[in-house]
Amino acid sequence: MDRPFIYVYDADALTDGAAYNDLFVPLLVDSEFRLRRIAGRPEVSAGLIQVRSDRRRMLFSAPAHIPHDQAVVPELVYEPYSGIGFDLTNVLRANNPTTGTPCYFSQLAFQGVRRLPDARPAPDTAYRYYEKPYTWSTDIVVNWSGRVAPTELVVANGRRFSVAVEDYDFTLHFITMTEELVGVAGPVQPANQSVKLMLYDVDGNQLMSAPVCDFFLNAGARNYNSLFPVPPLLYPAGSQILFDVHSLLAIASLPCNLEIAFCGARRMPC
Amino acid sequence: MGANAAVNPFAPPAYNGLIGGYPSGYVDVDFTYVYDVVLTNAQALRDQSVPIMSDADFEWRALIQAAATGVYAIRFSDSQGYYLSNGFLLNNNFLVATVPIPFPVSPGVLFPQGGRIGIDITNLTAVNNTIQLLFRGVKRYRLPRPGA
Repeated sequence: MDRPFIYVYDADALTDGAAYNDLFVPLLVDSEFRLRRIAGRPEVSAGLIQVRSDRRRMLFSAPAHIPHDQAVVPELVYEPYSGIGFDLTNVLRANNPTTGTPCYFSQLAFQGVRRLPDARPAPDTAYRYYEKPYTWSTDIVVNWSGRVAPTELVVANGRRFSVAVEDYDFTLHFITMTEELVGVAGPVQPANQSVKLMLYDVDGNQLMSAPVCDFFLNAGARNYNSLFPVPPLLYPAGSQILFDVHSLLAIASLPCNLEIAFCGARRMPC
Repeated sequence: MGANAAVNPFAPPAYNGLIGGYPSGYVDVDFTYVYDVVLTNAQALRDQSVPIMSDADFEWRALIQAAATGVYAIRFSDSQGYYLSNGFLLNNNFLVATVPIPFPVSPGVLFPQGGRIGIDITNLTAVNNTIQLLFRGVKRYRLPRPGA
């Protein structure tokens, strides 16, 4: 069974201007990982990146200034117990400034699927159906900052939300997020650098190794060709779409009106 | 019943996972050859090379302009000296507005192991031009023959 998954590397602890060799994202040991997308180099470095396979084979003949997104074709298999290794030069951590420590959104995202040989089969719809487009949307007021008030030094915890899936089974195809930063009279626009999200499947399994920045998930992202989950996820009727929201905002930007739309298809009985 | 649940129809094909369509006896792995150059005022360089490693053939499928500080013109050739265009291409061909996107090379151009990607390049600005090009494609490894 393939489970959509994003392995994340948070560069918060790195030092701007420095170069690092052999940074590493360890994989979960129960499954191989099929890497299909590398995203976020501009968020962590003004320089170059080199990425390695699980056998330390380089993906580039020399360190490269790859764009925001890079597809991996054909998909690259990482065996269980391995990890994604990479080097960075000229680290530059993207962040939202605060009165204390900045809220960093300097992440690399490695998107693909975990192939779980022993997992129970993915749920399927038990009745005959046809699909009709449908969107479950939810409005959230992000009224907490990314760093704990008032000093803005300590990272704030995320908050859990859910959307009930009613009436019919629902297949989640993509996510869009829209924000309005009321504190700074910002426009209504695609969510960008304001929150991180942790999404769970119907069984409560994490779909990312750590909360992921909005621009890596938002199908309407400005600089990224983002789309998640791939493959789509089924949420049976009566279940819920569970997710955590982690703020990346400074106190001065609050509150933020956030709309998250879970877009997909309803499975209508026939 | 509905569509194939293993495929997200909204996602780019690569996000759904593309296996290599390689010939029998070979295996493809994603690879990128990088070409770095700094050109001075109106400098023209001829017969530049990106050497192909000796471990595998390389099939070139797309070009990405990873960085450029000015306008330039470029022409490529394969390992046999076959030019891939009748003249120089402006780098704007590799951009949508000002954003670099993969410039497709189709059908893919196969470079043998130990071969070279040939490049002629001309700086069209009066100042230094720092350029990095990414040759996206696959390394095509030959699998050991059974019993070999």
